[in-house]
Amino acid sequence: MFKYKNNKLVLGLLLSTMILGACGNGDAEGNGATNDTSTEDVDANDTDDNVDAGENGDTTSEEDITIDFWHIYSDGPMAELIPELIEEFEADNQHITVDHLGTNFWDYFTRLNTAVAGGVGPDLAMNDTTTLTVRAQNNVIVNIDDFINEDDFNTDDFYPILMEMMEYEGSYYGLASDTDVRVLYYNRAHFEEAGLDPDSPPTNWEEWEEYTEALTIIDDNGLVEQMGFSAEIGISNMSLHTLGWTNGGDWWDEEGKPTFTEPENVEALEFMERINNIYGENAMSAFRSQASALDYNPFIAETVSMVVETNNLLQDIERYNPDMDYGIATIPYNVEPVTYSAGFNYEIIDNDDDASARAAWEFMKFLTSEDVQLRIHNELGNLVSNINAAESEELMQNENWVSIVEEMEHARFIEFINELPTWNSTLNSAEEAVLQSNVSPEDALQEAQEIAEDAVN
Amino acid sequence: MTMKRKESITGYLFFLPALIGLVFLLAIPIIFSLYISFTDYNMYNEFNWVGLRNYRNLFNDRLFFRSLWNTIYYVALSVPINTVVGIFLALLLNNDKIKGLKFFRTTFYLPTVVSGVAVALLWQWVLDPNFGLINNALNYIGIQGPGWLTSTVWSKPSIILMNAWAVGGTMIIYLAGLQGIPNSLYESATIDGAGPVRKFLNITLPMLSPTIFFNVIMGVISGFQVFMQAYIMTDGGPNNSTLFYAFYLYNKAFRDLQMGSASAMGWILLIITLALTLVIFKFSSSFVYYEDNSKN
Repeated sequence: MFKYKNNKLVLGLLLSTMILGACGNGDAEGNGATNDTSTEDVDANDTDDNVDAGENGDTTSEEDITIDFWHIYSDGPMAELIPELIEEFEADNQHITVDHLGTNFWDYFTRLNTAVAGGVGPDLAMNDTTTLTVRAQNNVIVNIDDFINEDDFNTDDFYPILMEMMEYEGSYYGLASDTDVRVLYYNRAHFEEAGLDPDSPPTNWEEWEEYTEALTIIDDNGLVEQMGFSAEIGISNMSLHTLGWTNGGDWWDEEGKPTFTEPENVEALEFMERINNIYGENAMSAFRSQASALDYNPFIAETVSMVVETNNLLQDIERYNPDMDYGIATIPYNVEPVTYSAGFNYEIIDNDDDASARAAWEFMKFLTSEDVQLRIHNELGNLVSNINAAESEELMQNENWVSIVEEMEHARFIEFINELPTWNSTLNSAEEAVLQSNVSPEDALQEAQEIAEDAVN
Repeated sequence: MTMKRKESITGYLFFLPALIGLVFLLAIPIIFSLYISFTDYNMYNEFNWVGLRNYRNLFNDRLFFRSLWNTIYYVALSVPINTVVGIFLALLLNNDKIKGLKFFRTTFYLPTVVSGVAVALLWQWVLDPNFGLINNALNYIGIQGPGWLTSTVWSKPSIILMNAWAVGGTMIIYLAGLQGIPNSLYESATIDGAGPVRKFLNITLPMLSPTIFFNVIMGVISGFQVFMQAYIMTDGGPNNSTLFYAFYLYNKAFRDLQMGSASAMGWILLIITLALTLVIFKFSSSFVYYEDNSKN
């Protein structure tokens, strides 16, 4: 009898522990972050789901508060810089403690979206600039207009295109952290060897094609010894949508209908096909395999003469081949210069807590300040959003960097389409169909068009 | 309270944690996903009821049908291939006279325990059209190998081939089945003058049929969930030729944030898999032999 009573007690304790353990909140990761949903801190005056910043004033500004900050830097130099920055911020804002969590880029968005949907998201998060609209539409993130007005925050310190991306229905919902631009990198030494003027990179597609043929060297086995240019080389940075834009094409009309089969876009895909046909399928495949197998950048290895890449390549060249004689130019265009831009921004998640939102705003201002942005650039080589940092005297001494920041005038983000946020992946399939499966550009784009129409109709 | 009642209560208490997990972590989410499939939920908004819209949109989506076709193609080829190869290897390894039998059994089983991601990365190298082992071996005998994962024609066969390499798991199950066949049957057949082929067709296959039936059902169910290869190796390409159903569902859910559509796809997959399983069960009586003459 005594033994049976003990068993019941043990069973009951075990059961209770398991239930409580399954239902409770714990640390998300070993980074010391806490998932403080702040549900206990709901302001009694705030009945709206959408918390407009500062609506009730910062009456508790000096009350100790802890905020969660999530970002994509799980390793690398930024994983070391972030804690330093937090320490400095906390030293100047002693009532605010920042718990941060870095998650690998490939897992980050799934983790963040799931946490926000489950009500256990952070207070401040990095996110994809292009998709800010959907979060603003659904009141997931905080409108920061009041914060900006109260603090007399100067939005002119940021690139105009980036502030436009932060806007939804006339209000701002975040501050951009950084972005990138794509430019044409070209090997000046190769130009000279091929009898081309290294100070005159191609400016339009006709020249681009001519230069590609002049720079290409095929060996006796029919394999590519030196590739002039290919859209397939460069981590997908010479995207079809960018090429279409430079030809005056558009992929969506004003009513949100796809226009993939516009003649300008078909011409862009035909151009890509013509360039690849210079090498032939086997040689192109072999070159691609070699580059991916050996995991090297063929431009840095000087086996490719021209490549379209982001500004981050500058740092890689400096690291791996600092003596390379290269130049930077605008992506050749037929109608207008355009460069594709993509980046991250900081957003305050609407957890229905004014105090946390205010603290997150303070930290957001800190992260986008000139000094901090300059330090972020120095670690990553990113094109930071603060103009004063990106175009600081120190950085503008580098001619190549000057060319990079000048491209911000032509920067363009992809359109956000609610029903098909990843519509540019549909274009990737069209590219593959043409470049790897011999489908005609018209047919490939027609199919992509139909897929997009299926999604939006 | 009687002792029997007390023992029942104790039994239920032991079972309760598993039941709670089953209900709260499996049953309720599954039922809730059915509800989500009738909403436009995108992880940010409220659950707005849209009725059958998600299902209607899927039936007008050519990528949905492409993914379904790709998956059916994969299942239709990989299940028979794995069955034949699994039985063949099990027959070979069911012979105690082979030296190093344990070594061979272990070697054939090893791919099953290697992480799926590691296998995918390995096969990306093996199937490389220029530097891969397979094309180099084919080149050696004068055959120019295809583009494998870079070819819209060969991409699915590549993944089927990769799956066949990891047939060790089913091979072990067939091996166990073979070892359960009484020797007396083979001895009687020998006495009656039956050759190896006749023994295989009239003894081995019928006696192994319940095991085959089980593996076919499991193969069909897991085949319809093929995902990892597309996610790691091909991203659904080239040109959507490896856009499998589960991968398209994942894209819908986590890239396009269309949880409603993704949930609808999940339920459609359940219905398809259930229907196929029922069909196989229905026709199983004509090819599955149970020693005790019981029907499934």
